[in-house]
Amino acid sequence: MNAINRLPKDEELYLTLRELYESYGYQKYTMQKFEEYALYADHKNFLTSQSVLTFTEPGGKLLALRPDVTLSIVKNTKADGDYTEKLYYRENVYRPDRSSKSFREIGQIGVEIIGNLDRYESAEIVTLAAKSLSAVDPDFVLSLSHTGFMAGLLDYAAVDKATDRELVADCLRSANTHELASFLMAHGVEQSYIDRLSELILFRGGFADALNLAAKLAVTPPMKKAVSDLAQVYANLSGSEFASSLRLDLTVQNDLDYYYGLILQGFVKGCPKAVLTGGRYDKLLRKFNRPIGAMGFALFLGEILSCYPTPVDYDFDVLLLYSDDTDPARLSAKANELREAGNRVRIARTPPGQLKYKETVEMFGQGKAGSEEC
Amino acid sequence: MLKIALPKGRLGMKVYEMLAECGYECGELLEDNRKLIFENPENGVSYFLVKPSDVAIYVEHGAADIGVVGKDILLEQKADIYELLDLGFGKCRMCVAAPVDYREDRDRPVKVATKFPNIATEYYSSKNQEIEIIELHGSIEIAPLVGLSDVIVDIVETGTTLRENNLRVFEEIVPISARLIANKAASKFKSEELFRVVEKLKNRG
Repeated sequence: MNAINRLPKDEELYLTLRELYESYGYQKYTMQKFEEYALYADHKNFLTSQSVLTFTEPGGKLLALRPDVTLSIVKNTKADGDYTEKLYYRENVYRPDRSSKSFREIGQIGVEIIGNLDRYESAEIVTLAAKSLSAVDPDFVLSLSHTGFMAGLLDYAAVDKATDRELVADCLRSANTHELASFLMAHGVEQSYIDRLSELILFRGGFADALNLAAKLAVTPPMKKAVSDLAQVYANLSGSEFASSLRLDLTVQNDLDYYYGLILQGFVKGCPKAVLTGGRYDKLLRKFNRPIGAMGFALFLGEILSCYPTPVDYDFDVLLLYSDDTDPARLSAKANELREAGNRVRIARTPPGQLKYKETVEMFGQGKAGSEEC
Repeated sequence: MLKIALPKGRLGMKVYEMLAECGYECGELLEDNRKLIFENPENGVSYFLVKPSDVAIYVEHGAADIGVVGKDILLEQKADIYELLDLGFGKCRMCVAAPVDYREDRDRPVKVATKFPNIATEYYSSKNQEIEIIELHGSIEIAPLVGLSDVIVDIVETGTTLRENNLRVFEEIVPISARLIANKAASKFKSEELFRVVEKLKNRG
């Protein structure tokens, strides 16, 4: 097995996805390691966590190890009404780990498109998301939703209080149809509507059938627009090889202060959690006074790496043992011969007790015939 | 094989009985042994017995596909899972309780003893009320009796323990019961077998 076959999943993935994104004309985006903390303080709700790893540089400025890449891309974008940026990146972000209560470095590969977006760009992002998931595992599900659906539902049920809106969002996020039903009934929504909504939330069929259900539930303008946008995207993709992996999934949620429109979440068979999230976030651009559109997604390499570990049978292949009377030139020549045959060779005086290897070759003595064992 | 996390104890046994009635029996689980994982390949299920407060963690991380856990644990831990069913038993209430003669001192934050700090914080935050949390892990009712706290936020079933210790419920926060939860990815990749269990539990007599 050579080095390429032994690549960790994240490195193998990066090689594949880089080629994919560049084949679509996306440019690599690189950035500085640190960002001014103010960027994240001003947009805390865009982050997945409110905790940011900060430090003070020698000049006194408060900097942060970035918890997010998109904010930096948006802050520095050259896109405008005439020029659309198409970018991909591979960067690390720093976020608190919920279970260990410490910060972790998390690798991400992401894609962003910023500028004048129309239905083609939405379909392109969904296509790249699907192909990215397929590169992780051909058995994947890409769930799509639309912020307009929940916004419209909240309007329809006249849900005004922030705590109530958060309750509805929580119920949708966790497919909690029983509590959502009780809440909506208390807000005067008719039982038949609630039953159809519950059916859609728990629906396990294909995208087209789910879209039909959603259309029957779209009773307010934002919901009708949501269904129309989803239908447009699906119309562009229904003939693709991954159409059967698309789902219309109302449990996919994102912060309504920043996201407006299509939102995505991706799953692969080997991982218990979502490995891809994204969506359309024009509202974030508005907060930067940029009247242009933006859409993108990110893949979480840490989650992928832990679910697809690199198979390691041996730490190396051949242990080459030498002693004081070993001819160094012969030792070196033997090692090179083995390496050129594709082996990983470790030269040592004594066996390294903790490591696993396939075979041992002893180079004791002055290279007399019979002193090498293979 | 569908992996099911059950809480150790009375609640877990009750859930197992329900699942067995629905055709997901695994006789080994009822035997007196120290095993923690039980499999029945014929009906495609395996059961784990775990600490009740750990069920949601097993399900969130995919070690189990579905599990049964109290709503109190879900509200406290906020695990990223699907909550598919209210099983309708294990009913109790999350309440604010205090000594029967308690009167709130509005000149200082309320001291709240609880093993549910997130639930307590969120509840008082919704009332815009400042509190000091004292996190305990058991026998919470003692705290206001010995001056450790003003009130407690805890689960109340019959209220007997409160009454016998001269405490009473001041406010009810939220009703609690046993919930069936599922791993999000398993819901997509094992949807047929997973939702078959959900439907059978929902439709049981």
